[in-house]
Amino acid sequence: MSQTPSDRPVILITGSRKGIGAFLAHHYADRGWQVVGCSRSPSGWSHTAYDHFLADVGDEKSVTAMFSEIRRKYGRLDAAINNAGIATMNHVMLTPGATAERIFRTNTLGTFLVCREAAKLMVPKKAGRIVNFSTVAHPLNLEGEATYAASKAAVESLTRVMAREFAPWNITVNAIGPTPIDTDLIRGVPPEKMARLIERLPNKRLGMVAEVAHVTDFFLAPASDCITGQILYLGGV
Amino acid sequence: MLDLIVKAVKDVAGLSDKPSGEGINADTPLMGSGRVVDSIGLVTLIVDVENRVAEETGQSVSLMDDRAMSQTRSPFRTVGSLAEYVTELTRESREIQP
Repeated sequence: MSQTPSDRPVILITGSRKGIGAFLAHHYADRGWQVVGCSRSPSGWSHTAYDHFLADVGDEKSVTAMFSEIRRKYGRLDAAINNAGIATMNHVMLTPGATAERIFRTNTLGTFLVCREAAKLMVPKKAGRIVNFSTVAHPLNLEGEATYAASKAAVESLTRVMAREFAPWNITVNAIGPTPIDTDLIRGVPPEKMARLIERLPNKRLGMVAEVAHVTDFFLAPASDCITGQILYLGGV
Repeated sequence: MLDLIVKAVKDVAGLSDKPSGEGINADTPLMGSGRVVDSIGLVTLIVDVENRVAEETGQSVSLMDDRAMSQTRSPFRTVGSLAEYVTELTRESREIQP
């Protein structure tokens, strides 16, 4: 694609330092997008079409400062992928309140804040795409993932309501619910626990990041203009 | 600031090129009886004003903060009250971030 930087559609991908976020950032930078990424610490990689911001999605001031900078540098935002998320595996009776609060702050409040500011940048063009991240842990009611699953259940609710609220400006809001993928998010999960989890899936294997990109491609496609408020799970859930 | 708000209201209400747009002034209601924008239009207007303030002054202000929500008299009543509120917010923002 022979686009100048200013012609490129701009996409924000949160949590892009590593894992699924880094894969998606490369994926879209290679496909003609100007990618803006963020994480709480510096990115260890670079790309000519990638711009990294230091931001904590669970901190309102940090998020609004990042969006001010996106507005100043690019003057537009065409899509946002709310990939940033944290998880913990613990029995409810062994989960400190501070841990639960941290998970809700990043996963739920973070998604809310980024969606709100992204939509404000999309309103002038009356077009935009937002993709949020849920998880199969919510519909499967996985033991040991109460706070994580609940934080993502809230993300699903936000997704459906925001799809309606943002529809007057042709901004679509959808969510993907991946199966476990081999990233840092699940690295602390004991192998026997992961085996039991995978056994509950119709497709009994870990997910792949390329499968996530396949779904985000679908939600971002111009032909998906009328697809909004949908939650798409991987793995047959 | 009043000029910025008037222009934003005209654009959002689709009155920029119409004679009726000339009648938009500080007393024009944005809420209740005689309002020139519907509820979606008011949301668009608030976002539009935030974007214009950012572009023209470089200041990032959030019009829908806790103070706006808690005021007994909404700052979004009229074009004039909105202009006063935005002026106040941008002045405070300058004092915090010189």
